[in-house]
Order: sequence, then structure tokens, then C-alpha cells
Amino acid sequence: MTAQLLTLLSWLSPVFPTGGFAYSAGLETAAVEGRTTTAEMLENRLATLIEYGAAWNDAVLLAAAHRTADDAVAIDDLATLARALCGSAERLRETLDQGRAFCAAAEPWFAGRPDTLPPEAPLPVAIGMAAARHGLPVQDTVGAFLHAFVSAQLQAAIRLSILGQSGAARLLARLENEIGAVARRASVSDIADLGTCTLAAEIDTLRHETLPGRLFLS
Amino acid sequence: MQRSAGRGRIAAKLGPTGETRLDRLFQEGSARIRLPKSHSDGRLEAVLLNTSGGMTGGDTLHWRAEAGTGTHLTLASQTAERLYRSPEGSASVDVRLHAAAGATLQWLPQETIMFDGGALRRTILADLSEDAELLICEPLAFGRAAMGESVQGGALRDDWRIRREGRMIHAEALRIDDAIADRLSKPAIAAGRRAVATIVLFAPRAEALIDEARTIIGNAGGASFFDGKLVCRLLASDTLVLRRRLIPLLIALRGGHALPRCWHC
Repeated sequence: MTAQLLTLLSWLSPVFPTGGFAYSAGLETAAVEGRTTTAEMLENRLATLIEYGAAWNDAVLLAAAHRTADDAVAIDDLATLARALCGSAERLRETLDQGRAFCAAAEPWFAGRPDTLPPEAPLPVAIGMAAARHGLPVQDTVGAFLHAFVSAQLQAAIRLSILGQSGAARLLARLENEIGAVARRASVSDIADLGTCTLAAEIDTLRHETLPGRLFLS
Repeated sequence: MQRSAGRGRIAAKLGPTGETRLDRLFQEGSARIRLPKSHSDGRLEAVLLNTSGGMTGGDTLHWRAEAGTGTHLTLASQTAERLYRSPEGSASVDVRLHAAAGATLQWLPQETIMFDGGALRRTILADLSEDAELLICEPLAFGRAAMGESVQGGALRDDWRIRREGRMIHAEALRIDDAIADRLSKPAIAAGRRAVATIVLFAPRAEALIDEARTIIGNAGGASFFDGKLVCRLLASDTLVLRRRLIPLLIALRGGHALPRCWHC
């Protein structure tokens, strides 16, 4: 196993203190309102989100940050754009809090080096920049990022009783090809490829703010 | 085939008694700007019109609106804009909005209706001064449900970039193409619904409007206030159903002012 792969596994593992477990990216709304209640519905939602939703935008932003990691102005512009693209208060908090936590937790990998990570970058910009500075390849990093997103969604789905542990594992197996394909596309994308059409999922993130008895922060 | 091109520009300035007046108006090609007489408390309303009767590949429209210092300028459109089958290329719509210090600018066109095979590349760029206010709404429909139309193919790309004092404060990037009806059928996209509206109010006063906005929106969408802006999204089975929420929502965000009359023709 390569050192690069080990670093990606560390950074995107569920125990890395990024706090991803606290967010559902609107899934809780879709579950509580009865629109995502089975493993089949969840698979449809996750495949749609990584191909046409906020997760696709994040993958494009990550790849762009990876490409321009050494250009402070470009990174600042990307961070501003990533923030401007957030469609709700909770989505903004989700990406900023996780970006901040990621940079803090990744510090040991950069100890003693002057190229420190940005303090206020949204999560995909932070990961893309860190990965480039650590010499991790872009496609693997995007793949690991999307995989971590899907895994966090599955963990949320288990808490929301949409499926159980073994159901989540089956779904992960079915989504691997999709994750790989989207990572390949995103790794050769540029900023002009930003764009989503997951209108209903965007509305889920808005409606989460007033959802009664919430378990998640988004 | 003859392609249509239109270019319209309007600028508003303050009159001697603090009322908003026309400063400059320019129109060429298929773009027309009308200034209906309205009883609007010293505000200025302009109605935009594309005389080409719909857009197809290669057609272009450029709109530019400038609300000068302290002015109140509202732009609406005479009718829905129709996107017809584009065998080659996209239609293109470019919108530039400027709001100077203390100005209020409202961009409130009626629906853009995309028919099967339609293609549009739209860009909306807005520049706001520190304390300027912008209300922006773009309703969009894929075919007309009542006519049994469905949009099998097409391409739509809609980008908004809103800046305040040069700093980007909001971006929208909508992109939907190829098998559009199939995409829209996905529950995370539209669950088969065909009419959508994105409404954003950039103003500190928007925070106080969120409860009212949510009440009006009900189950048809959602709203959030953050970073000095109120973002609302609506999704409905067709434009008539959409309008039942959209019109009262826009009136509420306009502080109770009725919409320009063209909205009701």
C-alpha cells in the first residue's frame, strides 16, 4: 500500500475529526417528510447528488483547488465562489465548519512546513489544496472525497432508520462504480463544469432549518 | 436562417423631488423597453420585451439595468420567454445589473419556458454598492403541463454571479441537459415537477421577512436567510401552480407593493 493512499484513508476516514457525522445534507428532511424512506430511494438520491448535485460541485471545486494550490489569489477566489454557491445557511455552515476542522486536524501532516492550509476555506477547497501540497493525485483524492460523502450519508441513513448496517454496505458496493466514474470526470473538469440541477435536494436543505426534532445540523 | 439579436439598456436617476426618473434608455434589434405609466410612489417600472417571439440557437439578448444613487427601479417582462428547438447552438441571454448607493433594483421577469430541444445559456451578473438592495427572481418551466408537452431533450445553463463592492456574495449554477424529462423525474431533482423559481433578496431587511416567506411557500419549497441574503426556492407541477405561491411571495418581498401589471395580463 502506498503512503499516499494511507494519507487519503486517514484524512477521509470517519474518525478524522472533520465532524461529517453531524450533517445530513438535507437527507433528514427527505427522510422525515417521507421522500427517502427505503434503500432503493436512498441509492437513487445519492447517485443523483454525486452526479448532478452539490457533491458534484464540491468535486469540481476540489479538483480546481488541487490544480491551483500554490496560487493564493486563485485559492481565495475559489473559497469565495464555493461559499457563494452554498444555497442555505446550514449548507454554508456544513462546508465552512468541516473545512476549518479538516485544516486543524491535518496540521500534523504539514508540521514544520511554511505552506500552511487556509483557515477559512470550505471543505472541498481545503482538501484539494492539502492533497496537492502533500503530492496526492487529484483523481484519487476526489474519489476518496466522494466516497467519504456517500459513507457519511449512509451513516446518517442508518441513524434515520432508512436502512441497516448490511443494507448500507450493499448500497456502498452498488455505488462504487458511480463514485469512480464521477471522480474521473471531476478530475479533468474545470470551473466551467460547475452546475447542479438537484432542485428538490436544495429545497430539502432549506426546509431542514424548520424541521421539528432534528438529529443533524443540516 | 436569420438569427435575432436584441440589446436593451436602461438607467435610472433621482429627480428633483427624490422620485426615480429615467436617465438613459437604449434599445436595438429585438429588444424593447416600455415604461408604462404607473402609480408607484416615485418608483420606476420598466417592461422588457423581446419582439422575436421566442429564442432558438444563435439568438442573443443583452439587458443592462442601472439603478442610480437612491433610485428604485423594477424590471419585468411583457410575456414569458420561450425557448424553441435549437438544432445547433444555444440561445444566449446576458443580463447586467448595477445598483448604486442606496438604490433598489428588482429583476422580476416572467417565466422562461423551455420547449423540447430548446437550448439556453444565460448569465446574470450583478454589482451592488455597499447598501444597495437587489431582488432577483427567475421562474423557469419545462414545457407546459396543461398542453401535455414534455421536454425530452435540450440544454440549459444558467449562471448568476452577484457581487457587493466587488466581492462575490452569491452564485447560482444551474445546468440541466440531455434527457431532461428523465432527469426531472428523479426525486432529488424535481420528482416530475416542471416549474421552478429561484428568488433571492439581498438586503438586511430580508431577515425580518423569512417567517412570512416560509408561510407563503408552504410545502412548495423553502427559504433561508444567511450572509445578508434571503434565498427562496419553489418547485411546482406547472407555472400556474407556481404562480399561486410566487406572486404573493414577491409582493411580500416588495414590502406589499403589487407586481408590475404585465404579471397579470
